[in-house]
Amino acid sequence: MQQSFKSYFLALSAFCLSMVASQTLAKDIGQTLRDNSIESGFHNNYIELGMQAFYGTGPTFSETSDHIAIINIIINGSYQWDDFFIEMHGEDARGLSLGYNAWNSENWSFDILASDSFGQSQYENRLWARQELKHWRDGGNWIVGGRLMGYFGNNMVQFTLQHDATNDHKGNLASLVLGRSWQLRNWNVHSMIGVEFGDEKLNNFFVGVDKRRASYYDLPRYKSGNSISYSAEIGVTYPISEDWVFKAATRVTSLDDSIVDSPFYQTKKSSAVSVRTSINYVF
Amino acid sequence: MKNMKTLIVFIFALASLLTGINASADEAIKNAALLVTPERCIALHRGQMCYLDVTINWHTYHANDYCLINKTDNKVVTCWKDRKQGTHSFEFQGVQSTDYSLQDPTGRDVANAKVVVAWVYKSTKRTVSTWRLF
Repeated sequence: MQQSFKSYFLALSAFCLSMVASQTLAKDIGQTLRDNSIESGFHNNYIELGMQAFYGTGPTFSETSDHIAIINIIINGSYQWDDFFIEMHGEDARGLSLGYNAWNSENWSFDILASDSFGQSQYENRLWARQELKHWRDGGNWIVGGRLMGYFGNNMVQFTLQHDATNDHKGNLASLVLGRSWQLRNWNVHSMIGVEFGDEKLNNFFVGVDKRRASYYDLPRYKSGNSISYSAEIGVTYPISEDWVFKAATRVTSLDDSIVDSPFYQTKKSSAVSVRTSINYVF
Repeated sequence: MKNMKTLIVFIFALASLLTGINASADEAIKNAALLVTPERCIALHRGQMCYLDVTINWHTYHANDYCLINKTDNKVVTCWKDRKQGTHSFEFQGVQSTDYSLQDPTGRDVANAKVVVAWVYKSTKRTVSTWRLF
């Protein structure tokens, strides 16, 4: 019981530390900005394998620690067949996305996509979540919806609206992210700000404590509400050679009380900060 | 008859002289070298401006007036007077590979070199179109 409770805390800590940030700073706009390739319709077919060092601090499910530090392997990739595409960007821990590019114009692009990302966007310690947290592992992860991206010179905007595809919680997620990238000689700098809305169905699935969970974990019952969170990120990408890329970024995310007030959180903070750096081999 | 002999001798002499000059020029080109260090500039993706601090070293067989030419835009980078070797450092900026040559006063390339621009991500562009779902 105690072990399960601890695991649950660790997993939910990951949720708090990174999920909201990752969701807000979606990988698609994030990857575009990191590539410094803002141009409507550009698509990279590639796969890269990286070694990443990550440090994050914020509200956690642990009574004794408010931070996570890990070194892990990340896989980033993207491939397009005609108008269908598959994407995976481990640095955002967004899991897998399958999509269809439905429309392009000079400045706008609209994709329909399904993402295995919601419950696995905990890049800080998503392995713990996957291995230990049954309801995250078994359901609620696939979301479907659309994303609209606008490209204006060095600036980019992305709006996503997604719904639970598994019917486990029937939750909804909406996000708006603004970003900019620019070049300092061969260094590529990017910055993003974003806001994300998650409805109470979605939040309750991950951090709510219903009667069954309350009994199992010996916690008071808790019903989460809708949440709004804000994120900002700044980072750099540098091409070391034709095959190697260096990346570094830092991100700060404000967390909604409706999430942090969950009794799963033992260390309560209203914001999460993370720093990550990686060396990636591009195939 | 004597005039004819003189003319033939003159033609032979002129031909020999011209051949000698060409041979000398070919020899000069064969012994000339233009070296770029480093040779490769790496950008993140295709079409991005690439920056590289480049040093060019050259030497030839004969001292002469030479100019370093950017062959892509046919602009003079720098020139030297009565030299048989030289060096020049500058910041390369380009979105594509660029050829350089060392030219003598007649405009002939005596040596060539290239700065290669390469990319990590080889982007391809989607077609711009209207809705395809309906």
